[in-house]
Amino acid sequence: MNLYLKHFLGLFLGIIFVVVGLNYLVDPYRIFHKPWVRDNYYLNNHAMRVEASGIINTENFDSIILGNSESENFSAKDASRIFGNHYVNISLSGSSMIERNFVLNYALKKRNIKQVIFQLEGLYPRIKPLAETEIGPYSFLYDQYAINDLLIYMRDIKNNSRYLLCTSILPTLSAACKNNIKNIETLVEWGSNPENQKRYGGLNKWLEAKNNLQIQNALKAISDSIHKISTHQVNAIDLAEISSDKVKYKQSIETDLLTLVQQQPSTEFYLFFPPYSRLKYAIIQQSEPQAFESYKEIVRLMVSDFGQYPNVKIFGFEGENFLNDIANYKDLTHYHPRYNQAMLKWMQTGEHQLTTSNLDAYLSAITEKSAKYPLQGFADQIDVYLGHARQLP
Amino acid sequence: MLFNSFVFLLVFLPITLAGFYWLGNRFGQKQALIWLIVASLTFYASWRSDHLWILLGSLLFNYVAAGCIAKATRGRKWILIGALSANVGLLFYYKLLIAGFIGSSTLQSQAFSTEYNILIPLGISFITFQKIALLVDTYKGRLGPVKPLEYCLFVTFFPQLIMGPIVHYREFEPQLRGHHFLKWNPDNFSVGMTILIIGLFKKVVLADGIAPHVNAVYDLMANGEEVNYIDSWCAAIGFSFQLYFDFSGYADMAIGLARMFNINLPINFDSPYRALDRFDYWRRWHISFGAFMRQYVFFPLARAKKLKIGNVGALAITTLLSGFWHGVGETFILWGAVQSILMLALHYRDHVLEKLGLKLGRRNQTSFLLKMFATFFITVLLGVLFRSNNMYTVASMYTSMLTGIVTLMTGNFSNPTADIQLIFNRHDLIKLAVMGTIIWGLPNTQNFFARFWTAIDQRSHKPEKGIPDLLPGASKLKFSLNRVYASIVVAVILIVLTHMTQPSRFIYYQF
Repeated sequence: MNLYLKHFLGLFLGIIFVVVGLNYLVDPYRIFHKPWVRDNYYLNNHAMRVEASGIINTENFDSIILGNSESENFSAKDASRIFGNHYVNISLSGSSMIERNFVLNYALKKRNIKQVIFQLEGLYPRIKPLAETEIGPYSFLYDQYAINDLLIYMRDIKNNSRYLLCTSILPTLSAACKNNIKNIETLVEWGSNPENQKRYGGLNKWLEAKNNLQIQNALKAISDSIHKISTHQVNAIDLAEISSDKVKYKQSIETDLLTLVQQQPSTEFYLFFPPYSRLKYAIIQQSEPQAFESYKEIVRLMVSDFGQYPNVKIFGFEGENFLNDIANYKDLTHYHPRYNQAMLKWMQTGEHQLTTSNLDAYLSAITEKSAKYPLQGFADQIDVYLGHARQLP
Repeated sequence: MLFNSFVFLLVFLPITLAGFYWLGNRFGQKQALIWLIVASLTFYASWRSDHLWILLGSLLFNYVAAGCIAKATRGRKWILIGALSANVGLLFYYKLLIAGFIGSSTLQSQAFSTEYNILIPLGISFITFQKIALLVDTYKGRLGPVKPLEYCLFVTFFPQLIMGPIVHYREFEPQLRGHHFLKWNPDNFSVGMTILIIGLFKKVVLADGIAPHVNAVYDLMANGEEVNYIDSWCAAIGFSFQLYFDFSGYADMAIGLARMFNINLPINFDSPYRALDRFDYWRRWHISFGAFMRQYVFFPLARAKKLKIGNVGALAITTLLSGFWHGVGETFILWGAVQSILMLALHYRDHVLEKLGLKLGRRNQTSFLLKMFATFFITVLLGVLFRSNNMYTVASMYTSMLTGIVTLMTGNFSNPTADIQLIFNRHDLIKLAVMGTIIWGLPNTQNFFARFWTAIDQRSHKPEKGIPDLLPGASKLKFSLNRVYASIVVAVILIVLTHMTQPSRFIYYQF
């Protein structure tokens, strides 16, 4: 061996030894234990697909909230107070139901869970294999073997190094470290972020934030739907296709969520459809009636499939009037955090629960509300803002 | 299994190296060769095991065909034509498949995705080229008898199996003879490992570092979204840099890995963005492919008396075929056609000047710099054709880039796209600047490792000398096996490891 190789190997292996030793002390992903140096550092909510398994492994809780970005503002503390259990919110931003089912499955197998508040997916359900989802590359964290979880240290060395430095070496020195020192209670919430807060308050607030991608998508969706309606490009409803979508969704639901419900009779499941803005539903109902009818069929399917189980309650909040006012939304789908708190109360009291007896009335009501919603008015306001009138035929 | 994955670097490579040197020293060459062949087949099967049969079938077919050509006293030409047709047919089939002309998959749109989506046999092009060269060389009597184990390793040797360089049997086989091949050589190992680490840095840190922003702009363009003209220029230049470091990274890794096994592979990359014209460019970019096309396509066409197409026709056909090889889609065909036109124009210009007894321009530093950046500018523009999945994206990109030029020339910065939020932020611009500095300011791999460089050079014409490294004193940087460089290389590998979040495939895997 020459001098170069000796020096290279000595230095490289020495550094690796130190890094592995620190990892052992800190265990940043909580595979085996909570960090022994400090325990209140988390990567951030975008890494929840990676961190959720560690939280499930080591945090103290008996109930979970698991949803999408619309569920991230549920306060675990509020949920614990309202339901009387010890909640943790491990919602996965931008997740499909397949991903949430996957994490839920792990939590139910690993821990004795009393209650689950779980967000359903109704509009445009994403049915694809787990490997193709964002959590796919991290699926090894959610299997029964702890040893292969160590792979995460090789998969995500960049975040891991940052985590390690922040938890063990630079806990308070760096601004980047301070930003991520969060309480598990507020780990995933985004409602207090000033950038998000300033988008509540109505269309003017949206237009002021026109460079935001969510706002751009919202404005485009409004504009596209009006164009579709005015040029008579709205497709007729194809019942056969709806039936085919329903079959696919049913298979997916039965394989994933229904099995969990059946296997865990002592766990209470609070399943809910997120209350997107009425504007969102109106866009779908008026310009894509096929998608809206599919959505209604999915609601119907969920109530008929799950309603028979005593440990399951299904909720739909679209009868509420707050959906009508986009001042309560920062874009088409994300409502103000105060409605997360309200939803917890409604779920606890059973308000807005969907059953086979009230389902038809509920679906008729939400269809009517969406159909009557003044979509054109929004398009006109946007046109005025942009300074050029839309020329409709 | 990718070179830039932990399973390759921490499991496959150490085991393969240990097995090779142990078996070689304990038992001998035959066992070491078998070990390397098995390891290489395992490497290939780790992508898609069902494609292993295509590799093995092709390997056996060409071995038999080469044997028949060597031994036959009559009909050798027809055996060669039959075997070449089978090889080209297989390649043609997969090229049509990837373009969606046959089968149900339209892979063209996935072409620049660096995710795992390998649907056609990996390395099919490079494997086929090597075998075509073997068959022709056998026919021409340039080779002695083809030895089975050496032949198997020549085809399957994992550092060059997937993406080249295209190595010739006559260059490869002699290296497997003798004691030097099996003997642990610390200097060879150190140099090979260091070149591998530099290649990893180019791929993992530089190419993959800029790829998400380039992809974001091209995806927006493909979806009909408006993009700021600054972004379209950054994406066009960014893609040129991404492709450069992606391919250069692989070329380094292949040479470095082979060197760790005491094998020298051909040089495939020689600072192409320092080229002074398109001919010079193709002597520096994908050198082994250029050499193959010249030797096995251009020369036979140019010299075929029956065809009567001469050098010009042969050049046009060769460049068009090069475009076709990259893809059957309209953008690749156009890319190949434009390359062809540019090279023909250059050819005619030189021809006319020669007839008139004139020489173009002065050969000083300034003229070299102007030529070099003009050639790079054309490469960036052609890169848009190469990267775009359809002509709509091409048109959108060029329109946006043209808007940028008009804006700059007129000084009117109030056009509608100027307000669109930028995708390339200040950090990305710094990244582009760092990449540019590495490309034009620092010595390339072979110059940096000049004292230890042993790679094969297949070029009959060396590239233009061009300009030196632009950073003052950079040309004097030469690697040596000392503590300082060992410490720097440790720092580089640590940077690489912290960036290896999710291994991404190489762009040229699709070809």
